[in-house]
Amino acid sequence: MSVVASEKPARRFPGMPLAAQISILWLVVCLSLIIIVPFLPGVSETKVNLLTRLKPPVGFGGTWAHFLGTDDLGRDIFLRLVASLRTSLALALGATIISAFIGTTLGILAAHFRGWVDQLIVAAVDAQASVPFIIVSLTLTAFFGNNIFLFIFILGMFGWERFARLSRAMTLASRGRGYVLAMNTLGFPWPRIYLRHVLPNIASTLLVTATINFPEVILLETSLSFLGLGIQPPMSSLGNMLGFGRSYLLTGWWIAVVPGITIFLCTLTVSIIGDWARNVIGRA
Amino acid sequence: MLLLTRLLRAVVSLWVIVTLVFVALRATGDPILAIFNPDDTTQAALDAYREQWGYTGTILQQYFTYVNNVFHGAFGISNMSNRDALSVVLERLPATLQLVGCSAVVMIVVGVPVGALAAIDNGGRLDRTIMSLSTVGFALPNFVLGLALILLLSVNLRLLPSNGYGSWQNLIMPVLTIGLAKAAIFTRFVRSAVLDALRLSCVTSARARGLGEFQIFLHHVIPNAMLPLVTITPLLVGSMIAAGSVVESVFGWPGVGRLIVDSVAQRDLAVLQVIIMMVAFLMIATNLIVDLAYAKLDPRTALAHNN
Repeated sequence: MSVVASEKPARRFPGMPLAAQISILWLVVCLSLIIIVPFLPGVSETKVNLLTRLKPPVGFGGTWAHFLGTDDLGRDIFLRLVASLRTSLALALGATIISAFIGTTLGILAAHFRGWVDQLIVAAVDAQASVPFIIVSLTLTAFFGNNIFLFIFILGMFGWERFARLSRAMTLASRGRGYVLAMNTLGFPWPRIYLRHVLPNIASTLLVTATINFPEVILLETSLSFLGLGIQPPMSSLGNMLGFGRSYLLTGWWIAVVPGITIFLCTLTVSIIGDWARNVIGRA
Repeated sequence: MLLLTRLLRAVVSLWVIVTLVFVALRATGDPILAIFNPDDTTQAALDAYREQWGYTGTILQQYFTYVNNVFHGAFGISNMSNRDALSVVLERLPATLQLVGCSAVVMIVVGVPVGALAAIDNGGRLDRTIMSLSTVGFALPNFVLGLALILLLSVNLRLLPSNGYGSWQNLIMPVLTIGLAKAAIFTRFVRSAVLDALRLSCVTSARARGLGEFQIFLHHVIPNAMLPLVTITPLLVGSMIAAGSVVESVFGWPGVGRLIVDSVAQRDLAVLQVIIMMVAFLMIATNLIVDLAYAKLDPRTALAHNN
């Protein structure tokens, strides 16, 4: 068996399932649209045209001029969708980075100092984990929500406890390892040991955690925006697009259905990629 | 001793959450000015409202007054209805409990057999289909599923009312929305619990003794698989309250979840604080009870602590 295996060129991601390949393709398409569409000549997702209002998508009596249809003000749904997708993905990415940064830093600090620092951070983790975050964030967005930076920060407070728990446990484990002990004995400063040696060793696990966190942040942001509390007009996110479309279920179902399907596909594809990444790391 | 530490940590968690929310809500500016327009309200009126709702003095003073009042059973006055905030929340509780209770039944009735089937067919086609459906269910946002149900059952088929409260027809769609979403997660837990139980040596020995598969499942697999599920079920039921804030808004269900959204829109701080305190208390108490129940149900954990 080993002879057969060695004849094959070593593949980096052996047996990547079809579902994961399709998921990556979908995300690549989304990213390209976000980047390319704003540079196309003559497009505007905010252009109002009351003569073409509530036009259905192609296949339901619509024309290719607006292939996903138009909304109640005659704005093109496809262009609005791309703009909303950009907002939602950028928010989710920013929030996941904030949450990973806060969580990992606190986790490493807790593992380094132990004692009362550790106790304090663990108590904060417990507190964070004990209440469904959407309820806290609902309360806070009402008062911060109109400011986009504070909104990203609130979203970034979601899920940090997961990063903190993991990085704390893994840092504690690595402190007993030979290479950390050796570097410490040689007199390297702790920040350097953590940044250059411990962090790269735990990075893959943290990355998988980020793929679990990312779809949940998309769900959180779209839920808040859907309820009318997150992203406010004139900006649009997938959630508030759906929230407004909800009033047109009888006359223009596509206004709600198009962003709804998009949110679903985004969370689904990132989850599938996350599952696959977890399996690959679990096997390694 | 262990119980005491756990209890202490639970109380600290509760206190941290309540304090953080209290400070965050007041650090964002004068709540009175968020409600009233200072241009067409007299200063005297503003001061009177400040006095009534407890917004006088520094944040620290307000905080001590608030904590003192809470310990005396006074949770503040609701801005919206000018009534006791606690009773405003409590009168919404039955609707939410009804929703959560029915959803929990759907979650268990769907999740347990489907998850057990997946575990028995471990790696087979049925297992893979069920797991794919579970991933789909997990990725499907509550409000998308809810609106899809409204489009299908209310708009197209005209079978059920799209919103409202009171009859069993109103209950179906919100319960399906929450119940199925949580069932998608619960199925995974059931599957892995049953898989773990199937690998136990008592199952192997029962099979060697010649017991039928059904007998083995009934007497050895189910009791062992129950243990991890006892821990996760209350947590999932707790997260249904959170899901309720979105689903209750979609279906116009007059529960606590919708009260949160309404209170946020009206800047009703007293009601929000009561809700957060209540949810945090419920979740923390549940966690504590689950841990204690676990020790009772599984003699091994109790033994490990005594040694």
